[in-house]
Amino acid sequence: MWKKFGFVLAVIAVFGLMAWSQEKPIKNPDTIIYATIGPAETCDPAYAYDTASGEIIFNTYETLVFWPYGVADAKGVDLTNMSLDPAKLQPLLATEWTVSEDGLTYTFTIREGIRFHYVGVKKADGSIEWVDYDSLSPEEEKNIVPGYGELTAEDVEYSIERAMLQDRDGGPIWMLLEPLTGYSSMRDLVKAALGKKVDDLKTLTPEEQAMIYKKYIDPAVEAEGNKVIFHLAQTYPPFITILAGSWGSVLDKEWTIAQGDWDGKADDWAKWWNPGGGEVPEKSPLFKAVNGTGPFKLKRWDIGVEIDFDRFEKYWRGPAKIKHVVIKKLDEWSDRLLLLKNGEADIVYVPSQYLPQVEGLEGVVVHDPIDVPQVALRAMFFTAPVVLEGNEFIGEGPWDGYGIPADLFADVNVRKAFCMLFDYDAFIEQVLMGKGYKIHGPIPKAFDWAYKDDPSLDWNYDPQKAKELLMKARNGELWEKGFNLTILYNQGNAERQIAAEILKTNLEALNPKFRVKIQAVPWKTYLSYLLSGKMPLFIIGWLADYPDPNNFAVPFVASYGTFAAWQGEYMVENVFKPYFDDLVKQGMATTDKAKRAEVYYKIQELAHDLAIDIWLPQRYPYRVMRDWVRGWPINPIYPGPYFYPMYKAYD
Amino acid sequence: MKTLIKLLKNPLGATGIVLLVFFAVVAIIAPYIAPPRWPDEPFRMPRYGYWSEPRPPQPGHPFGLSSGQYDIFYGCVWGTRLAWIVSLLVVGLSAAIGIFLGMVGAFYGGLVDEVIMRITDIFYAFPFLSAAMALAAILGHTVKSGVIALVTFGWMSYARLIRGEVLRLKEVDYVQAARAVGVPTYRILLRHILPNAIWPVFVTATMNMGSIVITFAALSFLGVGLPQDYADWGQMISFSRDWIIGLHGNPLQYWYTFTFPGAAITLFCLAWNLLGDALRDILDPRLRGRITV
Amino acid sequence: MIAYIVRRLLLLPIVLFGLLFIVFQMYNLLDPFQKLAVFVPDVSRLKNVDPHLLIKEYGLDKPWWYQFGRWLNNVIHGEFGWSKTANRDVLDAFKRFLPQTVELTLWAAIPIILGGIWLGQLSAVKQNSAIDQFARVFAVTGWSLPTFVAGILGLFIFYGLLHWFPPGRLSTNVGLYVFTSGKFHLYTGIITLDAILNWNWWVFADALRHLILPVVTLSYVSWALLLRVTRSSMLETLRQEYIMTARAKGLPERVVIKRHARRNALIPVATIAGLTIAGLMGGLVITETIFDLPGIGRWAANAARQFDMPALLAYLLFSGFLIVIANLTVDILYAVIDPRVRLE
Repeated sequence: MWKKFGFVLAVIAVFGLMAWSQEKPIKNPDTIIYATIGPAETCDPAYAYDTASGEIIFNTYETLVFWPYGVADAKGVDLTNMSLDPAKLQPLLATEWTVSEDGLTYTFTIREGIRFHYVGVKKADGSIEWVDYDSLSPEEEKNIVPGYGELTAEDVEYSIERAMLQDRDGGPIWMLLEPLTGYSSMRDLVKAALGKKVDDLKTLTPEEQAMIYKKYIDPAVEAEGNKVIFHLAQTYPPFITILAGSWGSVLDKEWTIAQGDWDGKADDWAKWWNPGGGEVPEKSPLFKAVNGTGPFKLKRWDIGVEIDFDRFEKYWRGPAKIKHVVIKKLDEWSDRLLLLKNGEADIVYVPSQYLPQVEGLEGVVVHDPIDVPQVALRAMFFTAPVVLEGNEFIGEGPWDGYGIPADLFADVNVRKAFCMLFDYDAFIEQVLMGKGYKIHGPIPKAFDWAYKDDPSLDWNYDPQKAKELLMKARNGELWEKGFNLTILYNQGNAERQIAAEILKTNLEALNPKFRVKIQAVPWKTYLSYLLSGKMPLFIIGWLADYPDPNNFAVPFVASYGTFAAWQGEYMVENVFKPYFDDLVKQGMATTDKAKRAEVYYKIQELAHDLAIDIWLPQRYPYRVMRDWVRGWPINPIYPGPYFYPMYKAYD
Repeated sequence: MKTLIKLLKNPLGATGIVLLVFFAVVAIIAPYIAPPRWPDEPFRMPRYGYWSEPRPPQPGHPFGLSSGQYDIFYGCVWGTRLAWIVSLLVVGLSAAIGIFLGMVGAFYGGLVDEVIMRITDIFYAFPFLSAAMALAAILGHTVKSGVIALVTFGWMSYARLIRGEVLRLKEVDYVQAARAVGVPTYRILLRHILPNAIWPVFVTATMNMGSIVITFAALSFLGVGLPQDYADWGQMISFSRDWIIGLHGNPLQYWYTFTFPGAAITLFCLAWNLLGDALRDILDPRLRGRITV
Repeated sequence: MIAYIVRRLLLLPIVLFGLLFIVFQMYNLLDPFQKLAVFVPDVSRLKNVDPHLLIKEYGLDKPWWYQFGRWLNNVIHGEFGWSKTANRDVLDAFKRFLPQTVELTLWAAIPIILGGIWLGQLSAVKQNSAIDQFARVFAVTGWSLPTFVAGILGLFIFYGLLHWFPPGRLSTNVGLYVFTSGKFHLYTGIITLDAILNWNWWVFADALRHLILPVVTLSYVSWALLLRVTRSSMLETLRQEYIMTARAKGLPERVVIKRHARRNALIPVATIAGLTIAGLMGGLVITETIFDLPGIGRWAANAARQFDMPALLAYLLFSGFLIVIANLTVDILYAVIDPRVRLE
């Protein structure tokens, strides 16, 4: 009897709960919910180098200058204001700026009257307490200690100096160090300053620290009244675009010191250098603590699960339209899709292969405008020579048709042939669903003043020509003996797998002795092979740090760039060093746009002639959102959504 | 043989056997009903394009095309063969290792037994799925590494089972007699003990045949399974994972992506479970008193 | 008895050590670059740093016993390290994720055990009837269904189509209330329990609503085992002489079952139930992934796949400890309940 009763009770309870769940039209009208993947690493602007962390910092902190945005929402797409041209940068925390003739001095005037989320208030006993600025009445505001939670030029000076001195391994600070000191890391700087190599800067004596600070760091950034002056160590055209990145965020000096960070002194900064070795982000005092001038306050960061923001009511530009923002980390695509369908998520990250599932979905809008420029590139890189020792995928021993010769790609004609064997149109049609276009690198289309829009620089699928080239290679030996090539890709990445497959199909169709194997490997194996130079072909994508051609030129074609080391000694010595290194330097030697453009044109031409990589077609950028979303800002350089102008409505 | 007939008379057992026969036949005739595109790599699923959106059943592709345009029918058919191979290998090896260790420990007793028991305890303490995942992740993405991972963390239940049986049988009259007379150990083990001790193991093994396939599929689902174009049921369900929700107007738009491989796994596992259950029912008298899981 | 318990407990450190040793051996199969991978989830992390420098800095090129020793030393000082996959301190990750898994385990254990026993009893009493066959097939089908298929289908039907049971732990606004309003006190991290302690039925209902689908899914795929054990145990018991006596005495069948058969039949079931619970804790990986529940199963799976050593080692310690204690408890319970069993 009890059992039956219990059963009935259970059924009633279930239906009751379901009834509870009947919803209203615009779900959560005061809150925007963004469902995406990728855990954020830290809230410290000097430490953060991943886009997920950027999502947080971008909405809570502010920089001196800001990129203007276009709008893409349910009503349509309007790109009139959007720009990646440094001349169109908008003043944010700075009101105006000037650059000296020689490009070595930048002077910014700092805006007055701006407060941070938390301000320092004098208590009855004379101590200073940090309180939520929003919670203060006008009376209580009188107790704010000047400078404590108030934006000053010193704050800017402190923020940049602190960032430079922190320079954690694998972090973004090389972008500040290079222009301001001429060195790309504190270690390099110390080595030049002291004449000896020091691996652990924490071992420096106070005298050494003071010397380094006074000679290199202090003079680089100075605060005078309400102005901040940057003294560059070299001409650096992209400098101002770097300041617009999350690493240029402005902190409140007094508050940061109160969190236990660098006290601003010359002789003890090494204590805060490289916190956690780049391994443990928690070691930075600003890991979870956020106090910015931006339109949102960080309410809660449940690492890897959810991020909650409240709007900053007293934001200097007026409060945001939306009260709360929730960023949900949801790895499972089906879950994100369901949330989008049911209106429980307003903006959702959609991997490109699932777009068919959201197109035409009721209440959902998909925009994929072709004319939003892409600040990212994807390519297949050639390696020469390939490390054969211990290479389980290629096989060792003398090449006689089994495996490949280590220097297969040392021959420019072989590289050209491979570029011609990639079916770009098929890739665009079947993988990008027609929503893509061919590109040639290494300068992305986004930098239209430096991008040479010349179709002759694009490769076409031309098996005939490729055949001719390959038959001649190695005096006909290659064609005779054939080869066994293995292309590895990082498992789970559908587009890269298909790119490899397309190449494989076309190679094998040319000559039955050309055998290609495609192999998925877990990330750790991929990384291992990449770093040890064992992959004859590898596929990598690259996202811009700052919107300037140099940010791509260096990694892709400079012999000291990131990719060079992975592409093998031959490529470094015989392709990158002789042809590109000087050009890259020239591109940075002047601020004259026209002159720079010429240099970058040359780089693109050479990249084509020397067939350094196979450039993979790019997809039109797309956005997926509920139809009640309004005001979503677009600028491809933004690390994530900028929530300030967004709101939810039907109109 | 008597057992077999009894099995067939039991409706659940009969269903199980019929299903298994069906799967066996499919596995055997695989090269004829789904001829491989690459004869020396029959487990590589042929691909008919690169679109990520699955395509429904059509002439030439009776089960449709999965995400990435792999032929689902081909995958299911050759996946059957793979399922047999994997489950037989894993269960066979696990049982072999478990039986050997269990028997040796139980029979010799003393320190040998202690050590073997401790080792068993250690392996038992591993959380099965996570440990198998870790090992599979290290060894690479092949059938061999998946099998090794599952065997490494799965042999223990057999060892324990056999040990229990051998301990019990050690004291039985005819065994004592044989020992007294001086029959060599291995002969006693093989001739007298094993044939009687084997039954609980047998039941367990049949149940595991099915669950191994599910675990193998779980490994694919979690990202440490086989390469993407390998004909494996779990792999195919992985493909369907992101398309189960379907389109707005037609929720079951992509039903074929998970129905066929899902049914294959479920029926295969079901068959073994039914068989195992029926077997246990029939062998009941011999199992009485010993709870086998 | 005491001697037995003590002896078993002494084995605990040996087992745990063996566990850790094996894992370090597995880790040793990786080369330094592969070990680096968990710190470098994307090549963009290597934009301006030399991977060899990182390897030296993190000590990835040191021999396994050095790393084992260093880890042990840290653990003794209460430091379990930083989990790269969770981006949290390991202990912090446990604090955050464990309550979630415990909650799901406890809520799922009830229907699994009760349902399984009920089904098993039904099957045993009506042996070989249509009900028996149906119950067994029903349960075994659930057992044969991969959890991820059942889960996603369940989500699709009950959330996609019917909008009843969403994934995730709490609805957005309830979540904001619980975690950020300051008005809800999190005593244990087990939301349903905390809701009761806060006397907040709105939160309780929402939390429960999000648990229904995972619990039902888990139950369905787990019943077969308990059904099987209960059934065979009951069949065994029902054949006993004292049952025949009770029946001969003329007692109604219901009383026979309830009073005499069930209690004895449940003895082996208790052990299986105990092991099921322990097994659940380790096996919630897929459920947590699909239903977006932040528990330790999901975290452990990620750690295992990427070889996030601090997380993996800590999890293994925890899980190993749990399994050994669970086994011990079950063995003791068995011996206590059933005097026929001798602890050897």
